[in-house]
Amino acid sequence: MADKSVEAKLNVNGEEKVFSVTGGETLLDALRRYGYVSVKRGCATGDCGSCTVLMDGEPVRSCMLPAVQVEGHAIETVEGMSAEGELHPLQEAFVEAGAIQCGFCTPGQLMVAKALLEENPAPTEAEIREAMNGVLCRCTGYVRIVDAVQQAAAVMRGEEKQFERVVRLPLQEDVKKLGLPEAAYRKGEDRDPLPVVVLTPPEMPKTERVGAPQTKVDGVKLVRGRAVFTDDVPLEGMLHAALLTSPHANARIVRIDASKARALPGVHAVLTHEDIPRIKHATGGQSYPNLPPYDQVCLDDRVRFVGDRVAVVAAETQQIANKALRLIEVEYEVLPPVLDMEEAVRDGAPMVHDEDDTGGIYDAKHNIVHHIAKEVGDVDAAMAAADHVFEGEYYTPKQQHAHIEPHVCITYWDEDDRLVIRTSTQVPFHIRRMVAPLIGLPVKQIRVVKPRIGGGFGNKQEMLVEDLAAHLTLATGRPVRFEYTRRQEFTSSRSRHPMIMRYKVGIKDNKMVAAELRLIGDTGAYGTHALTVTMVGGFKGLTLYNPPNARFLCDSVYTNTPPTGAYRGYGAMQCQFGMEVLMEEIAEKLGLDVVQFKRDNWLKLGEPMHLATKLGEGREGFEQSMKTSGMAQCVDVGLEVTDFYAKRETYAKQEGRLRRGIGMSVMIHGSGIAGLDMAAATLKMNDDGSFNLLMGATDIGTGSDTILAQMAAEVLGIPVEDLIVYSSDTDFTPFDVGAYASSTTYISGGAVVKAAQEIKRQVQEHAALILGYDAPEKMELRDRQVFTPDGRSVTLEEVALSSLHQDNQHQIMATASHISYDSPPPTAAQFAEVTVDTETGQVTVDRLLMVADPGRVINPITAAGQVEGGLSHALGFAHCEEMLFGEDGQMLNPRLGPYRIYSSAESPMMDVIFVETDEPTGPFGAKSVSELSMDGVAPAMASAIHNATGVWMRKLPYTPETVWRALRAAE
Amino acid sequence: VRRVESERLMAAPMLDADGGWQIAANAPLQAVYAWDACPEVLHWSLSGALTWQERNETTVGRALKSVSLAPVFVAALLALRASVTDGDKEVPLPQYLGEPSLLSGPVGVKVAPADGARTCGKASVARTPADRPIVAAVACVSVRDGKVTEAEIALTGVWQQPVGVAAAGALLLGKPLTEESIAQVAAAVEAEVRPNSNFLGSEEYRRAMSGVLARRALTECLKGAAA
Repeated sequence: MADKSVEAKLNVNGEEKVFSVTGGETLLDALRRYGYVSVKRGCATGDCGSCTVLMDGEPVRSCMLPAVQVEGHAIETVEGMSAEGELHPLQEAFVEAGAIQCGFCTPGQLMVAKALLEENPAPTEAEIREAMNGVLCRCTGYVRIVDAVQQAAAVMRGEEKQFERVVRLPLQEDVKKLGLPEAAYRKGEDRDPLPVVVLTPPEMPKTERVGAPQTKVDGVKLVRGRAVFTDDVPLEGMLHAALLTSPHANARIVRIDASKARALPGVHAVLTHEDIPRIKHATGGQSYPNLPPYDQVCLDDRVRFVGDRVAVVAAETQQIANKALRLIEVEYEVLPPVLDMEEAVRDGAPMVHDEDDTGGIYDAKHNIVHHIAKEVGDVDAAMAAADHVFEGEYYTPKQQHAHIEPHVCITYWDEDDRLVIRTSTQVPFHIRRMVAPLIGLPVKQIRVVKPRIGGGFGNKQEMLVEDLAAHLTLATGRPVRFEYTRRQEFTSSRSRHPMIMRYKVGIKDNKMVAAELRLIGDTGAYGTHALTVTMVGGFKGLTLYNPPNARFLCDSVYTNTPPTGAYRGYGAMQCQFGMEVLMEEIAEKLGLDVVQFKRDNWLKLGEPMHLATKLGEGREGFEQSMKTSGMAQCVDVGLEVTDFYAKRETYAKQEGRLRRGIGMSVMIHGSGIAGLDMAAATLKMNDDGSFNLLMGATDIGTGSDTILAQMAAEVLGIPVEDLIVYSSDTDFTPFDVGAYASSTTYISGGAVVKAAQEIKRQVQEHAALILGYDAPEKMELRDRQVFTPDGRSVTLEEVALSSLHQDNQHQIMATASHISYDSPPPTAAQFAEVTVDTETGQVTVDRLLMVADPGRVINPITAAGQVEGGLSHALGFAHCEEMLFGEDGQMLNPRLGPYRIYSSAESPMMDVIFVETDEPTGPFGAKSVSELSMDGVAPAMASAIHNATGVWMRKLPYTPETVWRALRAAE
Repeated sequence: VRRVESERLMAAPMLDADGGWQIAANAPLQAVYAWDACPEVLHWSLSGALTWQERNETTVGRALKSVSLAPVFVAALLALRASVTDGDKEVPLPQYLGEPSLLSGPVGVKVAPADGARTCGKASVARTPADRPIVAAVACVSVRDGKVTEAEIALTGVWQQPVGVAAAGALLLGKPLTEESIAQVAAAVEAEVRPNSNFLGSEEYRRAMSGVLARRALTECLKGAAA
């Protein structure tokens, strides 16, 4: 029986309201239904806190409160913070400090911060972190959030304190002469956020807009809590979808009967494998043609993991849809599962894919989806001639992205009978191309709109919800909203490939002359990204030290576990972890200074990357060499500010229960996929001299809209505010592969710069026409004007009005595309300081410092935010995050709480220093930064734990019992 | 889903004239956390893994009915020898935890004055500093004339719910609190607990940690007594 509605009177943001609510409806759902969409649904289980509102001035999670029981209370949401139009000091500070990335958790953060400052106008850093602990942020690492609350507190106290957020210094060879801020040395107890230090080679060209700490172009609407996310805009007549998933890890569907579900009042469609054409495909959002195997169909009569798709429902309400799921009768023939990647390849193991219509599996009987065998040089001969041969085995876990906004999309027919897919995706253009054949529509009849995205980290480089929502709209003719539950994010989306790495390295005269990596990667039940993640892993793992003789042998293996996919770091972080720990072990065994040993061996400037042509991310690669590297300077700066050698020596002599340790690692990453990633951008001039910047580049919270606008502004001599940025919409923006592979700054930036340069040429030409000047190429664009060398000028507004309405009339606009056959590696050094409790095994991370060379830093605040967020993911990967399964394949920890991502109160100090280089192939010298920050934390922690205890930890994550057992084994 | 009542936001713990104290059933945990006279061990039990929001939404009565909401808080109350109240009725907390149906209404908490000078200690192990502890130990020891008159050790993570290890604690009674006696008790704690394995920690690990953490908690009591 349907719940009866009752009236609940409450005061929302100072206004008396009467909500009509049902008994089971939460305050969260009621508030959103009544238009308070700043209140976000991140989990609905009380774990994430993004739904936090103030009730009678106190923070509460609206997902945990029945709406009917809030009668008579005063509720505050972000909509009430700036009701008069002016931003609250907290909102201003969040924008200025760069405390927002995706912005999905921002309203919850703002609510808690508001309550805190009303109670305590001068909170300490620790008090801020403690208060904010109940709102998880997966993007920022919390550093800039703390900074923002400190700024707002100062403003609200009436202080005129200046917050210095960026310190620029010339890069010098002698690190002691750099003049680094004293605070960067972290010698006292102060944990306050540090300014971002940018060290710039004196010879690098000066820029004005590029390099500035520009606030995010989407910042204000995000702090206002406006309806900018996929789920914030309900449509008339919208149906709600729900997904029935498999309770078994391996089974055939013998019978499925949806008649009772279809008969339920309010249900409009129930789709099973009997209702949808069986079209084989791959769900990974990759360039055409998608890489094999095509081992999936929209709905199948076979389920291969707990959480696999069984049926999907569309109904008038979410409650009815959920109820309908329970009425679908499914009879399974349960089959034995294989959950372990090494078991999966044994003779007689259950076959995950025994169907006869999937091609492209290397060895289906042994569950090997891809086998890679690539070699350069003569590895066996080099090993035989080496002074020493070392081997090591390493393991990395299955990590979940845990973006706070779940996968969600809304599909509907527009007035032209075209299907619109408004979706939280990193790859709108891939989604359009990939969905089309599955639903039987031509690409031209589909429009994909990407609004603001609440984090993705690779998990939204996948088609997970769009095809089923589209099928439901086709079946019903109605708009359909389909959102994963938080549990489904764990059980039915994607995750990081667990990997077993077996390295063998030959050393001669303390130089790495040969290396072999035997890699097993667990792709789960489907092979999406299976080839490319492992290939990138092998390439980066074997290129960091780039021995001339290298061999990569890899099996990418099916198991009956949730599929893995793209996740920031993309194989490189796994394989560099193994290589870095092995290098530490070798240095110890040979009695070498580990830093010097690495320095002697790491990839050098001008050196060809030996495996570049062999391991080209799913295909043949291109010859590449390193054209810029700040690795040595990054290491030197880090050694200096951490006092590395002195601490290392002191810590190695410790005894007692609590022991400190310091460790370091080095790393490289890439900048886009060489010869494959393509981006395009369009610039169009308006009457007032402003420009529309239309990009396929997909800002998923990273700040890419902002930094790409900065590049255009730099070329055009205008403030960023004169650019109206729009990304991305397959109808209105040009193509871009999407946000992945650390490609946006480098590849999309290249497109923006080219388009801006073409606009500049057109503007110069028209300005020359107006001024009667005959050398337009000599004219300079600055301060919204165009200047001749002799000082005459015309404003951009005058150029625009003239070109549109008066002389030689035409639209000044340009579209440019960019592709690169280079993928220049950003480089970095990671430092970690830990405390190990030797009785319990608990590791506490005290400080993470990353000194990074991302090429030119386009925006130091957003770049630092990228690093801090990456460090937070990497810290979870190394320390506490792991998807765990029972013998039946059921996930043991499918909630954010038991799974555990870092919260604000426990996050260590995270400091960022940039060492700029001027990459000749990059826009303004930029390379990339996002994924680089993932790679070094785990090996640096391994190094630090060894420094503290003398024990090598080769298996992640470093949970208390794992460390405790290792310490006991070493006794 | 938890009920939040408007009155409870005003509820606050009360000190008795004899040095004991009471907390009403409808007091939110945040009121306990913010209480000026909150015993340090109780304040600690509400920090870290419990968020501000959770403390606002959870009443004392609710925390005692559903002990998984704030298990370390319940362990701290066990160590403080709390009893549970429902109007005029009063039941020792261990008894109530074993048979919650003893009291029908929302239950408050009452803590009697200590028999001597009471010091408390606490220790825990978790994956990360603000994670829910895998195992936590809280100990409270009262000392009069140099001898232990009361000793309670409570643990989380070694049974389905927070539990007092009475037999181990009893070893301390009538004796001075020393490092030697603490070591004996820690060993007894390990022998007394009956933990179950789960993905956070095996039975072996939890048992070992029960001894380690009980020793640490008692050592903190010893330091407190010395101070």
